Amino acid sequence: MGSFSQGPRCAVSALRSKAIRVAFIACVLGACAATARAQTTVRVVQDQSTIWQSNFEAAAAVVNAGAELTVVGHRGDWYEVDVPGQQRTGFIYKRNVEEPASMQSPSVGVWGFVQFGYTQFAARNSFDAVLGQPGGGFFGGGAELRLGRGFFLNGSAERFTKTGQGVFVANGEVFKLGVPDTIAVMPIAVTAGWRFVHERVTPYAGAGAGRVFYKEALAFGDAGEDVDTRSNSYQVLGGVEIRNTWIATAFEVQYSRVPNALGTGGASAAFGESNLGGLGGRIKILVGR
Amino acid sequence: MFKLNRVTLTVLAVLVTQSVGSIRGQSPDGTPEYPMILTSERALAFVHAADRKLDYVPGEVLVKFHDGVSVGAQQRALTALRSRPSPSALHWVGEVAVLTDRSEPNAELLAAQLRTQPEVAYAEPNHLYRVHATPNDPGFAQRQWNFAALDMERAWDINPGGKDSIIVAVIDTGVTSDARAFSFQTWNGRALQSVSVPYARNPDFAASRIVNARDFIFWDGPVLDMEGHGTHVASTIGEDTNNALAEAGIAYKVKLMPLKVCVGYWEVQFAMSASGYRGFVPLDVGGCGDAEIVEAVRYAADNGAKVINLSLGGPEPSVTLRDALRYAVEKGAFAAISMGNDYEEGNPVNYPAAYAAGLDGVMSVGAVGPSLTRSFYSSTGSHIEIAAPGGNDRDGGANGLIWQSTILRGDSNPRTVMSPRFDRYAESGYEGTSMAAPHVAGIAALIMSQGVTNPAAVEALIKKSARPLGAEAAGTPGRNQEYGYGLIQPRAALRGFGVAK
Repeated sequence: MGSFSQGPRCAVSALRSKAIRVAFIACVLGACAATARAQTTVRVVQDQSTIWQSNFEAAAAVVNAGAELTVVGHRGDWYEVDVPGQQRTGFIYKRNVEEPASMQSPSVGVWGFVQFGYTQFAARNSFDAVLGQPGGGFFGGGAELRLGRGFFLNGSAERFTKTGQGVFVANGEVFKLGVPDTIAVMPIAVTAGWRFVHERVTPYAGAGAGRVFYKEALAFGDAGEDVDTRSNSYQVLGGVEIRNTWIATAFEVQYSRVPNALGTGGASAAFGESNLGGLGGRIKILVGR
Repeated sequence: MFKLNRVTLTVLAVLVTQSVGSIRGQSPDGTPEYPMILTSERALAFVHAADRKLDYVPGEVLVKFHDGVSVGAQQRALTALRSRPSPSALHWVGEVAVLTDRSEPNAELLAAQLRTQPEVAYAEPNHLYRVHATPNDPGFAQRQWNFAALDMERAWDINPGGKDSIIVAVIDTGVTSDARAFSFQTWNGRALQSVSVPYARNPDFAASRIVNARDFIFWDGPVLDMEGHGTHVASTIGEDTNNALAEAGIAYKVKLMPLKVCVGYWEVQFAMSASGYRGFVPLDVGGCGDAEIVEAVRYAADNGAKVINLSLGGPEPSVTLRDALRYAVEKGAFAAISMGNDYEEGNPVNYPAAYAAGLDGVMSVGAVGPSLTRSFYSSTGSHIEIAAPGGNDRDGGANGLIWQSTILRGDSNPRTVMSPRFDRYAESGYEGTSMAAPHVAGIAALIMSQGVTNPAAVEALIKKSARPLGAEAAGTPGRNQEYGYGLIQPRAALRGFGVAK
């Protein structure tokens, strides 16, 4: 059985913002998952199986069928296990034990996840002019279907919202006019990819497409002056997943393109920026089997 | 009405020559006196100009010497003139000298002679520009259609009247900055007579909003508007608003800098009568001196004005004025200039409006009427940049005019009044590109108040937010020769733009 190391104690009550609180909790969960010892056990299926010392020069112990051993690693055709009753490890031939359940790829698995991260927009000059920063935090979630030994297909939705101010850009110089401008970006994406399954750390990579919903409301506008558009998006991503039986933490980098979503007006036209995508990093907390 | 001819002008010249000196506002009741800038000689020059339909001040030339030309070399250049004036007689406005040579009234000839000299970069007559408006009799129903057309109420939701840190210079006939009576000599049809002429500030301008007022052409005293044009223009820019008095103005919190560069009938009459001239000056006498405009533009820029309104112009170009406008822009001032009212008089190019196209931060403004189509008089051309309400009495009669507070015209109409008064104000309907330009100046002041401090950016923002009118001209995307980039849109300009729109 796996065991969680003790997570950092935190004074959640001291955190005012709900968003900060959610992010903090997610961090704690992620840290817990990441620091968990992904210990597994194997059952011996062959009587008089030898556990060899680390230098393979002598037997450390002999065990019978039915004995359970704690696996701490593996090397080629050998598992490194704790030697029963001794404060050391040794090696047992893999064919003498059942393969650990955690290393058996189920034929179908379903996982849910929440994710949060930071994306720097490709239209960074435009967003920097209006929002005072070239990107922002996204928060969302989704579900992932895992098939066979490594294929995955996931769907996700996330959201970014922030209020800046109306601007005028002249020859690259930005003049802020102080009128509130609220921007909301909601990408919905489907990604397919491959997980390179390992016992503790699983790298993965994928690509997909989706739609990005973009809303922008500049104060003192007339009906119809607000922006409400949706555009096709394309993305590639890669990351690593650190897993303990039913919970995992993934650290992921994604590049997305949303061509021609911007650039026909406003600051994006002034800067000649038409891509609503960007480059971001995110943390995912996954739960499933 | 007495009309001057060449004979009377000659007699007049003799009279004036004998009485030239320091003509002063008289003070029988102890009111302060001020040296007159409009000397009898110069007043006579204005009379000459009116009588001969000249578009320059006779005998006055603006001269720019090449950089580094010494006083001795300047002296040598001036010997080209018959009168051989001394360089010490030159009046300098920035880098340009105003040369007065009353012995040769033909300023075009003077300028041509000077241009042949190697020390001279350029020389041009001191042109007389005219204000671009025609006052009309009151008679109204819905007065300020112009503000409704621009959705000003919602623009004020964004920016209610601007900030008092912004100064708008109104280079015009003046905005009265004192409330007193001054005594002047005038002609009553039978004899010269000293009359007490009362003046009052416009009650719809808080006194604290008038700063650095200066008269460049009439006298060295308080600015006195004896035409009403300057006050009307200033009222559009920003007469007090939400005070249950008169009308509204666009940038009603900014400060106003009235700079008087234009004289009309009464100023010239007073100056001529003071010199002993027995008679009436022409009704259409007066104008706005090029040299005074240049001086005022530079003064405005040097004294903190962020917006300059020039509701005047004429058909003659002035390199000096163009350079002064460039100087003002470099000092951070935006300028709005009326396009001219001569569409039905052959539609000549008007200056300084024509310079706007080549100066980022200076805009030429055409006029529209209540139906938001070009006013019948509004000049057109490739240099027009923006349109704003200027009134059109053919488009709604009196209701189609621009109504603002100014001096009561009936109190000083030279056709009907011998002794004028300038101490009563009323809402008056005017039309002209003179009325359109202050709309742009007012909006520019609001934009400046919101932090767009670069004159070129102000111009770009006004263009970008304009509502296109008329058909797009071939080869000039987004604009045409009637409306430029279209009708100014204050709400859109003040909102600015987001990321996508």
